Amino acid sequence: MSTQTEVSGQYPELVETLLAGQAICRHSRPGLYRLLAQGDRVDRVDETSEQEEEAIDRRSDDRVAAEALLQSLGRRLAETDGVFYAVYERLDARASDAVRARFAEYTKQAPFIAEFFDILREAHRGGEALAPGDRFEFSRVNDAIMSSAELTERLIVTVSRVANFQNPNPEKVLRRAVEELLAEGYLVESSGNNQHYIVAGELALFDAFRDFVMSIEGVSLGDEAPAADGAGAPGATQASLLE
Amino acid sequence: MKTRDSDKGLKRQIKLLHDNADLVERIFENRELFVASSETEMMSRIERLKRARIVRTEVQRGGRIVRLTTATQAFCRLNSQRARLERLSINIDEVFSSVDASLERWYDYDAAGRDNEAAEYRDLAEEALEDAEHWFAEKIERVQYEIKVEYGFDERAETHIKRFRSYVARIHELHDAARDFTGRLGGEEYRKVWFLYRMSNRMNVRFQRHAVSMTNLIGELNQYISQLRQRQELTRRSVIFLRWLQRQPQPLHFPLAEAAADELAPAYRFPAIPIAGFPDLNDPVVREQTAEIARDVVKRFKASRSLGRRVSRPASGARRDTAADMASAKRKQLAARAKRWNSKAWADDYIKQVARLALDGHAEGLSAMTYWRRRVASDSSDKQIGLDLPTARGWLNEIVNMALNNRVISDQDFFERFTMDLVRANDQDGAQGLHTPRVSDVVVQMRTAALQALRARATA
Repeated sequence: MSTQTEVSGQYPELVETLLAGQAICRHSRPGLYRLLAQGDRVDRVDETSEQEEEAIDRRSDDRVAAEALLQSLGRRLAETDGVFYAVYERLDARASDAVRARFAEYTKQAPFIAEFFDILREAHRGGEALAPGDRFEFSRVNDAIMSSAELTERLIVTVSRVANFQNPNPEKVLRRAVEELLAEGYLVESSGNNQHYIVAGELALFDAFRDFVMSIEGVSLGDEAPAADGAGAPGATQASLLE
Repeated sequence: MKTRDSDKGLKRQIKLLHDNADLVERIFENRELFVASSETEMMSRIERLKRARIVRTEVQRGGRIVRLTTATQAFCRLNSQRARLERLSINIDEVFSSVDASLERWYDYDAAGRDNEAAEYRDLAEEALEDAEHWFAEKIERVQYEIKVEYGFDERAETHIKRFRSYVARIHELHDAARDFTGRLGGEEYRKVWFLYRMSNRMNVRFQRHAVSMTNLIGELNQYISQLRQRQELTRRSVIFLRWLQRQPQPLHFPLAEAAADELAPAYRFPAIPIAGFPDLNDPVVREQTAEIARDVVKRFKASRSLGRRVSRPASGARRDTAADMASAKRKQLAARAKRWNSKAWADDYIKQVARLALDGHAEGLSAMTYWRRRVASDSSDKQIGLDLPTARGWLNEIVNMALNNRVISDQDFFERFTMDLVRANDQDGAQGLHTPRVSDVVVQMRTAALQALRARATA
């Protein structure tokens, strides 16, 4: 692999973000995401060596340089559901400690994250779970929560896990929760003035943790999920209408 | 007797079907229906239908899934075919009988050479067919218009799915009806009428275009339904996980998942490395430095506390002038504090020099140890006013501490304006030295953006 690369002006920010252990997704850092998402990923191509070489060549210079730097530090680039982040390259004793620590951190955060996003789900008119890329407006969510005594109480109890309040005012509590999620990278501000927020890719990583725990701990999902009807249907429909 | 019983049963079935036609139709269209246990009225309706073997049910968490029995499904299929055209509110038979009537008159007048009358009935036949085509075009446009409404995830997904399914069904119905219409128009009896033949060809082309656009539309709708289904699955998993979490004893502990944690990719993310940003005091790279600083803080704290103890609790039993002792201890303490090097002033001066060097074009930054050596060797103002000088380690600790706390310098966090490279005792390269935690020097460098801002300010 050639190391002669021409990195862009965003390269320092890319490296800083990765070394800071932060996640890069299309919603939180679109510029950096484009640098990483450009070209095929090496671990997704066919196993033939020629194709792999071709795939490497299609990566952006910034990504090639960042991956080389990460490798020199014993790290590598990883991707989960369209979210990029840097990880330990191999599981030695130190990495193993860190993996356990990270897992413990996810476990500690789980009640707050799961509960708060569920409150947002109920407050958000759709009633469906939020996913990366979804947007919400602070005032609307606040109004919805304020109009429901149950949601207000749930919010206060949930946010008390991460902050202490002497006289909890629901709006302040909600603001505190949003600040917490902004700091943790689960949300990004869409517009500072209007208080619109976008759910970031960090939630996809938490979802991966949730699915992992559910599958390993044998949490019952009840019946199998309904088939994603329509997934294969367009082709069939096309044939029937054009025959 | 048996026959009479079965007749009675059939009558009851038909009555129930008639009374619950809307519900049965809904189940038929959606294949199944979920009824929550809390919907008591609906549940009792379902029970009656179940007893009449019109529906069958399946227990599901929080309610029941209701499906039609095979016999009812077959009955509904037969009915739906007939009802289809009724729902579309056009009677194709009437259209064609009107065309046929006009054609008969046209044949007569044409044969009699009465061109004006013939032309009148020709127009009537054409109008009837054109009206039918317009009706189809209007219906297709209406469906398209309704579908073009922007749907977000601001309503219950199930509602969207049902609505889209009904659109898909309507499009299919329209398509089938249009195919019947064009098929009949292309029949032998009309093909031999020259003007209808030309009209039929033109219509076929237009209907083919409609078919393509409808096909694309159905593809989009199905994709959207698929996305909604995925979102529903996400909701289901999130809610199940939350309920499960709420039942777990605190503090949370997932023994099996923890044991397998090394299979979870996001868990491999490492703590932040404090090179040019976001320090993490627990990172192995700085852990020792942090511990050293903490030890130093504890040592100093203990020292000051023990000083206080000696004053308040004399070692010997001799009577002492406590007030005098306290005053003396205070004096010593103040004198010691007065002599201590001013760490903040040192750090500020160091940062100023980093900025000055950057302005002069030395972008590589300034080593903290170089600064320390120069300042200690010079006849500095510290010596002149009788201040102690910091040890190399003390100075380094101060700078590392400044970075670790991301101290505010000129209204901005340290790492917003500067980057810091750690240099280790046995590895001057830095990057490879992650496993050698002893930091022997640090180099602080000004960020390009901060430098540009500084230059702009200097120019202004």
